Amino acid sequence: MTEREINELALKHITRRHLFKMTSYGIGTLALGSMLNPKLLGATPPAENPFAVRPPHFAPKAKRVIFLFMAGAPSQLDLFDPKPKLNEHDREPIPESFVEGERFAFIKGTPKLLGSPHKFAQHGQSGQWISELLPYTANVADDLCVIRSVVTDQFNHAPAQIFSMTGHQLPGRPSIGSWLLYGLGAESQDLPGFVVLVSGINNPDGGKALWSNGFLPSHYQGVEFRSKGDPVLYVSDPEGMDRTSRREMLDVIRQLNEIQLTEQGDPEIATRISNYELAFRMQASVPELTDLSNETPETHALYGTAPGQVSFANNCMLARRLAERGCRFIQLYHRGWDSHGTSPGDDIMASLPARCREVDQACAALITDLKQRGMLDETLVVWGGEFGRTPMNEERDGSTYLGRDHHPRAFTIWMAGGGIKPGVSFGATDELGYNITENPVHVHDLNATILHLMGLDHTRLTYNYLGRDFRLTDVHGEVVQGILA
Amino acid sequence: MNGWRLTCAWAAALIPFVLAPALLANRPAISPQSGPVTFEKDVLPIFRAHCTNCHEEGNDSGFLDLTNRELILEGGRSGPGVIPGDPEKSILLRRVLGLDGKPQMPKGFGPISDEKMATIRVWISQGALATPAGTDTRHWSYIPPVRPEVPEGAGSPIDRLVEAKLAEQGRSFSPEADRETLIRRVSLDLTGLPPTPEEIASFLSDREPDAYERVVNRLLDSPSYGERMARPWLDLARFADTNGYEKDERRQNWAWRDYVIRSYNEDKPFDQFTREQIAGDLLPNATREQLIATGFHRNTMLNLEGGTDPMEQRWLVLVDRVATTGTVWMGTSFGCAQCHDHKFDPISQKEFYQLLAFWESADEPSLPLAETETKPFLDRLKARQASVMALPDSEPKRVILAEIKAQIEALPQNQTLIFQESDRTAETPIRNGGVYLSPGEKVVPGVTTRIAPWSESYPKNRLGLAEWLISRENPLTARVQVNRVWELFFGRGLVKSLGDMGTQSEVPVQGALLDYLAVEFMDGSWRLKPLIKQIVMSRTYRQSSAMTEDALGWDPENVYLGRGARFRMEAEMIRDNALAIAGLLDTTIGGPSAFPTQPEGIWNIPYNGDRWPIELSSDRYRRGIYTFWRRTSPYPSFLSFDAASREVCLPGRTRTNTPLQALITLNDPVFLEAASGLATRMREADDETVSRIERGYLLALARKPSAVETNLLVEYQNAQEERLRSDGARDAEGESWRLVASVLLNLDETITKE
Repeated sequence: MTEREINELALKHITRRHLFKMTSYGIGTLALGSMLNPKLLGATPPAENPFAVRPPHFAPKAKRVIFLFMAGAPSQLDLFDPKPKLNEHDREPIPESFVEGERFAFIKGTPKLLGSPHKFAQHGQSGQWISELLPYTANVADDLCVIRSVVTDQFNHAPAQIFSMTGHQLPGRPSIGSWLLYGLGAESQDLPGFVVLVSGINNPDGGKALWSNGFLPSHYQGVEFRSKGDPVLYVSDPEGMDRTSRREMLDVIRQLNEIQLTEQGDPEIATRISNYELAFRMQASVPELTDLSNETPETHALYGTAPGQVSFANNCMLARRLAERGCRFIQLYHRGWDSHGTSPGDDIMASLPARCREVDQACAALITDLKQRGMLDETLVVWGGEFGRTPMNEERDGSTYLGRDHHPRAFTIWMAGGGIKPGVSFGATDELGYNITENPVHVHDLNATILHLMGLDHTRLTYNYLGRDFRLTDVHGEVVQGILA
Repeated sequence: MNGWRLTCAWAAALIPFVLAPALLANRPAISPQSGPVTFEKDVLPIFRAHCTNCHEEGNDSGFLDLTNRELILEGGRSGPGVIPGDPEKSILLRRVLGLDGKPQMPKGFGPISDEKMATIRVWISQGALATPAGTDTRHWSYIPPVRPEVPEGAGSPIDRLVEAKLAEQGRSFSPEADRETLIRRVSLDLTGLPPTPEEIASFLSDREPDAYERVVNRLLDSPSYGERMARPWLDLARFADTNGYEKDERRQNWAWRDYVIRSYNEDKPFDQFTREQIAGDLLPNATREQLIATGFHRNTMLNLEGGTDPMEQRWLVLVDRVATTGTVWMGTSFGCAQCHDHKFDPISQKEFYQLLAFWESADEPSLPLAETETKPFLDRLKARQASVMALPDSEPKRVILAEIKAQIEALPQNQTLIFQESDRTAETPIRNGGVYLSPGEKVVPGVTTRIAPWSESYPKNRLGLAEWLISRENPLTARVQVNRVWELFFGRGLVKSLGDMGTQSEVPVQGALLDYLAVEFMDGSWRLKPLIKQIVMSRTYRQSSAMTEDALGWDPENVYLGRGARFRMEAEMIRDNALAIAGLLDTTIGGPSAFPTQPEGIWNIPYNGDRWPIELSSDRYRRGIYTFWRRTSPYPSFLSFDAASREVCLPGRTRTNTPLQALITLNDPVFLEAASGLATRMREADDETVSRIERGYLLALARKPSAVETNLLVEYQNAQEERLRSDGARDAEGESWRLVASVLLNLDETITKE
């Protein structure tokens, strides 16, 4: 290589930033040109469109993620991880060696073991163990990869949920959906690329920090669809404003903005013009999306849904519709899994089965529906909570209702679809379900794996903030090879 | 957004254009004043940041040790690392560029920045020189600022410094903005509010040479100035009306917020502002005002979730205080040293815990507010009560009265959060790996003396910490503050990263200007108003912000300041501006936070039945700075326009441009009310359509519309009125003007400072 060549190569690096500047300028000019033809404008993505599709690091297995987050932490020992030994020693004090030096949210003293009052059976060709509380899920056992060895660092709801979604226990880091949008862009230009759907009593404990953009630009934050009123805030026009009059108003706004663009030359004006057009399209696309009345009766029967209802099941159907329309990350939260056993409202005898009834059919329906439509292969579905529950009865203040305290050391989640081995169980816990004995999967590992399936290397997806390159997985995380198809 | 990877096709298409020789002169990552590129000063910091985790003695395992120039010249397994004067043959550069089929260094971390590569290249080609002995090799921001040499010539020092930089690039200033643009720009910048038609008329007809200066003086004296300046400080201080975390219950600290506004309005010197907020309780004969000031660091979040360890939670709060102090005063990420010695900046883990120890001896009580402190707000509530009582009986009236009554009853119990020094020994254990459950050696209060020395005259408590922060020898504090002020007016700091002026931040092109401002700030007794006056009086500030294609091409970010700033307003300003244009804004200063209209169901918090009261009184038109701030659920339109959750310190907001923002200014009830208000004002002005439109432009944009603009809106108004009439609307004429007003509120120009 000659001096000239090497200089050119170095120069290429020097000028990459300039290259970008030229490009953004170029797009600005492009947009300026398109001003002349309003029809063309409608089709032009905004200048420097932050949602433009960007190439992944390598070929992805999945195009999108549907994350069914069971906020409050479902009991793995009553749903997916049967422990005969626990039933054998039901209500006996746990051996001291397990709990010495342990810290619990509520348990005090030496607690007693609690066998599951719910029956387990093996299901499908794969023979996966699933509890009687989840009969529909049991029917899709052969599509699931059940991971029984998940571990987290946090044992309280808000920090653990925030940790699951952002890789850090304190609010302020970007959530996985924001990272994906930042890394890959959005496929749909008429709908948000990261949507959050909440059902259950109220918002999850971690609040909006769970779908925060953190330090990433704020257009990467999750857009929470509201279950009452407008699904997207202010998407409806005020009373008396129909589509024609809105269009006429937007036309005059656009014309006036175009004059300003010609005079000022600021590409931001072109972006704003495009965004008003996108807002107009969203006003049509969002109601169309959320209108479930054109789904067939068979599909409604599959999910157990009815149009207009507010439920987890409706959100599952909406998730499929979002997936069809190119949404990148669809996050469902269903709250109410916090089975401490202080009353019938939070025990494992009445409350836990009730939660299961709320989600079981719809979760299985989502898998079946995606499969029928040929979408399961490219859609990654994840089901799970922020931690697990103790093998011991909590007995808070002498409560006689059965329940379990928070347990970060071992819990179960399942994954299905895009790039995941179907019909397998992965990892194992000891005979009491207290500690992991095989293939531990840390939350960072899970997140690394999700990014991997989406075609991103978690060590290379970085963002520089306050002088440091940040990652979703901080300095941790290994892709879990054992669950990849 | 910057930093998007380009697709290969784009890059390939553009390369021929960018390889122009002029770009060879692009700046490497070194200070332009610093002469030749030398090892210790310019190159070693790059290696320290990117390479020495592996390539250093002790971790070198047979590789090159990059901390030692001699060893680099000598080389490693593959021969000499660098051949002075011959970048082409230098293995080091070839690896960094990823040549010879070898992995690009640093392996696994992606290429280093273009400027840094250029620095290495220039260093080798200039002979791989060592830095001469005796040179101050510290990172530029660790060398205390001195008054720079200002070039000879006409104009203010700011302008002469900027002009010199422009001249280096063969450029010059843009023409001055027209007077309409100028008065709108400076009014929004200094008060966050648009100029009134009367203020505009008076300025336009005032042909005295000091007309502009008198406008500036008036704005600096306006009580709205303090509200405008306080907003960024509230983001830094993570001020909110709730505790954060799961339950996110309410707290009261609004008296501290009012202290901040008052301090800006009084132009309290920044050194005193610092002393009071860090250690007001430790000042001799501390006043109530000074106690209230300590609320700065009581704004930390508070976790009350079941099962949390109170001592651990307190420790997390102290960790936040150290990190926040570093970011706010020194633009330094102290927080990195919680777990380990800072990788880039001179802060050890031990020093982090020494800083933390300052707060170990402080108690954190609540201070009940005195009657005199709540009385103005009580009087206001009572006056409102009286005016509502006079209305005819109705359901809304009863709701409002019940709410006002509840507020009147609650107000005397209001309190504020403060610090009070205790007798406890201030010491704290270093937490190994930054883990609470792993305490190690105990340390006593101390600072990062490699950044600024600790004087024995400082007391070993928070007051001493405050003195250290504002000492003349602290190289960062003044620079960080003036950089932030600059960003407020220009949309970009002289150093872009407002929260980081450490070794990982950019070297400012306008470094001399930054230092000039920092020194002026300190020499002017740390008073902000004279500094701000200098800035907004400058020719640099007063330039037109029009962007020619040429300007966009050579300096899209306006680093060289060859034009005025043009950027979207911040969240609160967009709302305040609309309300002011509409004649609705309630300019009451201070008091408990307000609850403007927001849609139902935004607050939906676990274990917390708190509901947003439906505020039907004029409190709904208060300035945005007074909006009740729930951390888990901030006011939605503010969030859409990039406001912070206020959970942690935020040194600067990003500015986005999204469709959700369009939906807000089109459909949020506040903006619909503002449209009605503006329509009324337009109609009251005149009976003529054209005059009404001119009135609307004057109110919304402080200027006359062009003929084309007028025609567009005349046509629009006529068409809408006709349509509404044929639809059988009750008030077709009035409704059509509300639509026109809504158009004006949705213009890019209306939500932009230009």
